[in-house]
Amino acid sequence: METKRNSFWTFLVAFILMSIFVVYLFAYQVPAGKVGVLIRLGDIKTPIDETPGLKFRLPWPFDEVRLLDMRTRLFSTKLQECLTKDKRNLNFKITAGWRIVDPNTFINRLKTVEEAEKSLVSRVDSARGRAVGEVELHDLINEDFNLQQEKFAAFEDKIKETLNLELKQADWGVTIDFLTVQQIGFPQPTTNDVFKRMIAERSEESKKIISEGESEGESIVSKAEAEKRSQLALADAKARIIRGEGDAAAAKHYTIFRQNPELANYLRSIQTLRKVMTERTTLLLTTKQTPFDLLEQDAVPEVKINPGQ
Amino acid sequence: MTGSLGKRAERVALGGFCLTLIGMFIMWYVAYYCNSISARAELFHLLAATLVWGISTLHLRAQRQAEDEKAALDEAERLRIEQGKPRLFDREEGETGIAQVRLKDMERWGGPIATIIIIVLQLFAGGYLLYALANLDNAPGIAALIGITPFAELSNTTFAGAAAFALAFFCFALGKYAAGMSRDKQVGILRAGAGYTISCALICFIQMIAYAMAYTGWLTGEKILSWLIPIILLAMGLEMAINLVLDFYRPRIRGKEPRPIYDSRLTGLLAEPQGLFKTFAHTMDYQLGFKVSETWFFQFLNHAIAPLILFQLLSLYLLTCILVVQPGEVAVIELWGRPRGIETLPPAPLLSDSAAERAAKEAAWDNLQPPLEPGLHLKWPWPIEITRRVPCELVQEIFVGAPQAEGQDEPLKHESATPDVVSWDRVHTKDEFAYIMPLTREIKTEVENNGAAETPDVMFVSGAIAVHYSAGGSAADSQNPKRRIGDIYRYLYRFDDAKAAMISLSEREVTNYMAGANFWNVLVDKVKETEKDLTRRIQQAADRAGIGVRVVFVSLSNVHPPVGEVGKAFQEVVSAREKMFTIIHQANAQAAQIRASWPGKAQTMINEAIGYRDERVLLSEAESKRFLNQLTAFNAAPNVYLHRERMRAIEEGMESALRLTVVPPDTVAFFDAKAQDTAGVVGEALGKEFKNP
Repeated sequence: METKRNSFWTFLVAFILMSIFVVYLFAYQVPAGKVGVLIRLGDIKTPIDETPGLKFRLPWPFDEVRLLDMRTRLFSTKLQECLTKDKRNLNFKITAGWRIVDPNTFINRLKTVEEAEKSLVSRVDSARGRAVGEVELHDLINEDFNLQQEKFAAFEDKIKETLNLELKQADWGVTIDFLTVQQIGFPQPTTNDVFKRMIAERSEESKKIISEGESEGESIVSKAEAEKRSQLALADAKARIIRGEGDAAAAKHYTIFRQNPELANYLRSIQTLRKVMTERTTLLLTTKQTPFDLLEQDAVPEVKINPGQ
Repeated sequence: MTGSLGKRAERVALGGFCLTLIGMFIMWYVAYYCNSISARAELFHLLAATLVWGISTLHLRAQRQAEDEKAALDEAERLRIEQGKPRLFDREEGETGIAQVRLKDMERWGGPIATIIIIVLQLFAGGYLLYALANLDNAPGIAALIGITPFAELSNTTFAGAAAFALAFFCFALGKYAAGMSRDKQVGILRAGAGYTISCALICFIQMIAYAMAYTGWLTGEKILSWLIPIILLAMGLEMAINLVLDFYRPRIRGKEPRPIYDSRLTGLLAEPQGLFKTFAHTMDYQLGFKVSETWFFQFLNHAIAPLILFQLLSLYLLTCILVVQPGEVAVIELWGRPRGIETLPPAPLLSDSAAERAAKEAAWDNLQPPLEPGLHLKWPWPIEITRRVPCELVQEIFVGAPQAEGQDEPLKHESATPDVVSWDRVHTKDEFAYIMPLTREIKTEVENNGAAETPDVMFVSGAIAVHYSAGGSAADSQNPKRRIGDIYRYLYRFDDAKAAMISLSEREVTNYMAGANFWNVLVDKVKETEKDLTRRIQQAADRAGIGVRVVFVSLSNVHPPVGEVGKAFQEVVSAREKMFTIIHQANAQAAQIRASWPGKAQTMINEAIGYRDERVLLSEAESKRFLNQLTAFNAAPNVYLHRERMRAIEEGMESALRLTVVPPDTVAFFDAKAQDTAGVVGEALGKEFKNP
């Protein structure tokens, strides 16, 4: 019983596996975006069915299926040096998007995608070389933005047109979808020179900025000094005027002293003497001077009695 | 063992040896002709199988010869006894013939040595392959030694699949036949090669499935198998090594035939006709010395395990009928490679097409069947229907101006880059490209003035410019839902590598833009405008090419002058600017100090003048008034008044002054005690000598 059951499962598994293998041998799948080219005993079976889905074939070695990717794929040239019209060396890297449009022609003429890209790269290199010879450096790099954009696009179009014309003549069964100048550069020595100039320009700018700072600093200080001097002079002038006003006001009162100028001067002298004789003044006096004359013998003055009489 | 059975077993072993040897060459051819990594790995597996068959052949031959020799000797002994003849040579107990000695030597030395060679081969091959695969990116040279290159599309998969199937078929047939024969204990040695050959058949069969998958552009099977085979080799090597050690400790039961030491228990599971489970149980019985296989647990597992595993596998397979489209993505289901509901995809426009033709072709893409939105969907199981998911809400990031590492979302870092600091004077990104820009007008003038016009009128900027985009575009942002549908199909089916196309087109736009832009605008003054401009231009370029993406943002935050000396020069300008500000601030401080000093001084001068004026005015008035009073007093008694005034002044002066009275002819001096030198001063004044009292 168990042996029978085992045989059933073995048979089932074997049947499933054999079925898979048979399907694998007799059918193939074409995904969307690809085309399956059926090659029967060396000849491409035409017309080529370009629809995706499940397809059938005879097993190998009768039928061979080559799946061709019909989607756009990219290839790039190397960053290659060229000479512009104004004898400037520039490096260009071109990238192009291409795809197969005629699978039959493609297989006959180019065989594989790798072969196709190799051929396309050499065509692009050639077209680029010719186009570069017709432009000057300032056509591609220019501070006039609009002009530069126009010339840059024209340069790309020129390569594209040349390439498409050549591809049409060559009849490879492929088309270019887009072509772009992906990178532009200078040879290394030129790049180094540009770097050096950028450094020198920045260094000059640094020095200029510091000089400007120093100059401005000096200007700020000197301006403040001048301002101080003029303000102090202004204050001095104002003070002098005020003092003059005081002197003028005092002069008005001097007329009173005219009534007895000698007395006024005597009193002024007394006032000065008081002012002068401040603390720790050394006085040299003789007994001849009043009141020290009292110290002299017989210094009793003659005092009048009833002086008022 | 009968002679015919032994010879038949020998022939089978030799057949196995030849088959695996041929298989090795076929696999080698597949490996190089079809660029298959798994085939390179399987080559080592087949080599190990060849060695197993080789040693099995020698072992069987030695066994047969020993058996023949023993039979011949026994027959001669029987005849001698019947005829009653004496022995020519004395024969001791246990003494054996040459072939039997050879068999013993084979079992004692040949088997273990061959096993060690097979173990070393398996461990070395498994380890080497795993190491090479793990370091495929870092050290491709190691992998390249045996022709392993990063996983690429396989070629000639039909041939590879057919070869793998054929090999699987023949290996399976021979393995099963040998396994059947090995049930006879006399030729049980065959079991080792049978198991190994069936394991080869199994892997070849899986390889055939992997090649079928690769045929449809799905390399997952090939990748998994490339890792799986070295792991199997390692596991088998380890298992054989453990067996070798355990064999020393195995209980020796009389009459029990020992298994060859190179007989793998793992491959034995495949060779035993009774089924995997029974084989496992018998292995356990053999190793442990008692009947593990008769326990209820083993009996239960034996009946239940196969249906359970089958059910599990079937369930897993049926899960491929359920499709869950995650939020933020849409999906397109392909039935045998054809998008569901679409007979054939519309043609892509050609460069030579007119604007109207181009618009019509693009409109055909926009009118395709809408893709599946997020949610649960049903489909036919793999490989009938497969799903292509588009993460349309996911913002993807690419970098232009610097190479981006595969599978990473940032530019390649330079070896000397510091992890957290990005500085202009140090290289931080590997192979940064220097974009050419025209000289700015002011620098150009300076250059012309300095007569240094030989160098081209250009400058450079470098940096990794980040471009953010989403495939197909967000549903929320899309103004035109039909356009969005078209973009999803464009993204899936117009380019073989949409990301590479985006990088290329973005790089072109940046190169072109920089070649006409103002250096300072890009770097400082109009960064936001430049970013917007570039976003718009890259979007237009992507639309023209039909990539089917929405460009979200372009970031110039990493753009800078070329790093190194140039970057340093730019930093020095910033330093110079700081120095300038320092100098100005210092000058301002000094000026402030100067300015702060004069107002007080000026005010003092004015105040003093005011005081002077007021004093003069008041005092002169007071003095004049006082004078009038004094005049009155004077007029009343002129001499007395004058004398009294004079005396008062002397009194006041004397109060605080040093008093001195000189009386002629003798001198009497009164000195202030505090004034020590008064006498000297006075003496000097009068030309006389005085002494202090």
